[in-house]
Amino acid sequence: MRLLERPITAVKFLVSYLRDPQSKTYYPEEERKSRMGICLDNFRWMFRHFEINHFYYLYGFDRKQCVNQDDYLPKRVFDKLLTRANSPAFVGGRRASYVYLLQDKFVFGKYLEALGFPTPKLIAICDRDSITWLDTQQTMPLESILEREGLDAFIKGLLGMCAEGVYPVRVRNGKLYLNEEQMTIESLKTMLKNKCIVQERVSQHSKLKQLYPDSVNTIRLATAINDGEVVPLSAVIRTGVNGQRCDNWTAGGIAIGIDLATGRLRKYGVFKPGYGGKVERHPDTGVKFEGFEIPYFDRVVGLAASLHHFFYGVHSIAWDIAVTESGPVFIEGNNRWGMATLQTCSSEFKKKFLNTHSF
Amino acid sequence: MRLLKRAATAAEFLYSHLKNPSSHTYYPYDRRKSNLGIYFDNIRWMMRYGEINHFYYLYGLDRKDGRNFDDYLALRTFRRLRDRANLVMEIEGRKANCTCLLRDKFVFGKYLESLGFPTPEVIALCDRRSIMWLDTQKTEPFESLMRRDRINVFIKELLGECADGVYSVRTENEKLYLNERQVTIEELRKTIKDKCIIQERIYQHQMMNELYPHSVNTIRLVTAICGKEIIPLGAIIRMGVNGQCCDNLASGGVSAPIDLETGRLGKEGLFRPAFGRRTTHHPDTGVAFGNFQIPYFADAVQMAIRLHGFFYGIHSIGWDIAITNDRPAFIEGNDNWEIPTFQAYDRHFKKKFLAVLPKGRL
Repeated sequence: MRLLERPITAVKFLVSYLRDPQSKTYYPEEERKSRMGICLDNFRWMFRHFEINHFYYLYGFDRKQCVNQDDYLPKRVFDKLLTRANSPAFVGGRRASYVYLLQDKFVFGKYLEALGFPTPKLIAICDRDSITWLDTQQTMPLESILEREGLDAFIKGLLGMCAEGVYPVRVRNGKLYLNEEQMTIESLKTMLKNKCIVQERVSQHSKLKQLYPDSVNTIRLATAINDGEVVPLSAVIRTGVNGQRCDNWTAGGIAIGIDLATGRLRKYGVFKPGYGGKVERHPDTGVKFEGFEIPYFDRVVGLAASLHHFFYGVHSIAWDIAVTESGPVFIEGNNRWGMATLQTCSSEFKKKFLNTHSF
Repeated sequence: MRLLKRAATAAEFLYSHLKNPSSHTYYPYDRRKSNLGIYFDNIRWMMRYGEINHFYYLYGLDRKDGRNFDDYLALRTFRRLRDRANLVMEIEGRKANCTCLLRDKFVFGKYLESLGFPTPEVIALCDRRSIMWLDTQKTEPFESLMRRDRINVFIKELLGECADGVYSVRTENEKLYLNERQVTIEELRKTIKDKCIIQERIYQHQMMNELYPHSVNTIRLVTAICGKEIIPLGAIIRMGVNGQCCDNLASGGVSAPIDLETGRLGKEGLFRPAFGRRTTHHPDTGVAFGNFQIPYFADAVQMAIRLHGFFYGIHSIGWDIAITNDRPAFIEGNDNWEIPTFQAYDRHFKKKFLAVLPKGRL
């Protein structure tokens, strides 16, 4: 049954892919392949890599301009290599899994704090019933959150991924607000599924506010360990759109490539397939991407490389880094990360990634 | 072939166990079973649990006092239950293995430091080639160890277990000493195998020195998550003997039970089967164990309970705690702690452990 399902999915996908190539392309201004060409390309990709290429248009493979598909890593291969590389590591002849240091937001925050790397301050750890305030080391009922006048923080699920289970909360005049809307402690309790952290809100650099002010626009920088040295692989910045408070690409945000050498943005920003194509300016603020300089970018790369040395058991990490007026702040590190935007924005991604491995 | 080997090992063990029961027993003055009784006991244990009972005499099962096999957890069963509860944490359908927090000494030290719990300061991270000094955040050649003022530290392998890969290192008048023997920097470099931490030396409380001064005598305290609470399951103290600078039981050290309520030692201490039997006094210092008060013990228990709250993904932890002049200090935490010594002191330990296991993990 599953064997039958897969070709049906593939055919469905191909039909939808070919139905209106014009609306799907990221390069409408360029000369593009015929439907037959696109169809053959996708068949070839499927036969070679045993996967549907969901990023065919994103990578610009539909253009007639010579784009070598061999320069791109298929998702399935990448996922396999990443899982293998980041699986339990041998340190001094003993095997241990280190990815938990990245997965658990509380542990990640505390570890960075101890190492002296900038990260948003952890205020408390909580669940539906109780909250442990880290300043007083006291565990109290969750209701005690209302006594923290002026609290301006994010509540995040301990192992949450892709901005899920993240709630911006404020306490003003003894009342609790979620996204500026007043809420009761009871509704907060129903939202919290399990253990969460309460983390201070980060205020981004004024220059990044110009790019898009409603979300904290974070840099996604991938680094990998190669022979004891940490090398940066690729970097993008993500911004929200249409008043969204979240910069997540999978939730409709834009990803714009960053030149690792100069810290300046590349010409185009891209949406996830299904949300839009490519843009040269931010659709809300009108800020032009090309040449836009990311503040403190040198420090971002330098600090990420130094920090990765303390995650010696994890081969490659995608860091989410906010930039504040005083410098970079590490929001999180990911051991399982998507390469679509990083590969789209850096032609050398595949080469660099494979060079860091001894597969 | 493997089956044959196992059978041969079992036969060898039985033979050595039965050769001279009097020399193995921990209770020479009690009424004991006959050779045949001991033989049948061990065969029964093997058949029931699929393992050799290396702790038969330690548990006092050779006595005729009606001790019941069922009061003791077989090591293999215990390890399976312990690992099932400790190795996988599940939150909202996501699974994670959190044991690196305990197993990696660098991560453990840094995590505790950030939580504000007392632990020996980690000074640097090193391998054979280089040292990353944490105060300056600079990576320097391994030789930079000699340029530091009066180093007096432990170098420990990152994932080392049972005091294995722990080296006492100090410098004095530009000379380097490894475990109190003068060595060159090259000899030290060859000694360490892989990534290590350099950790400040702990000086134990005067009272603990009275017990035995050559090793840091650590408390092994086991805590476990029981529903929403964390409770202590048992505690013992380990001490070195014969001038040894390590308190490890597997290296010949002696242990004594600690009363969780009062913090006083029990009357009798035990050696592991290969190293000795029972003793009421420390063999080197002659200090009597009975009623010896461990300083700051109540603080140690309270701190361990609070600390375990930050290791929410690990069901039970065996903490190694040193007592300094002004407070307890956490040396390490072990998710792979062992049960035999605790069972030997407390016949109800099995019951206590099984009672706190999460439902569905039995």
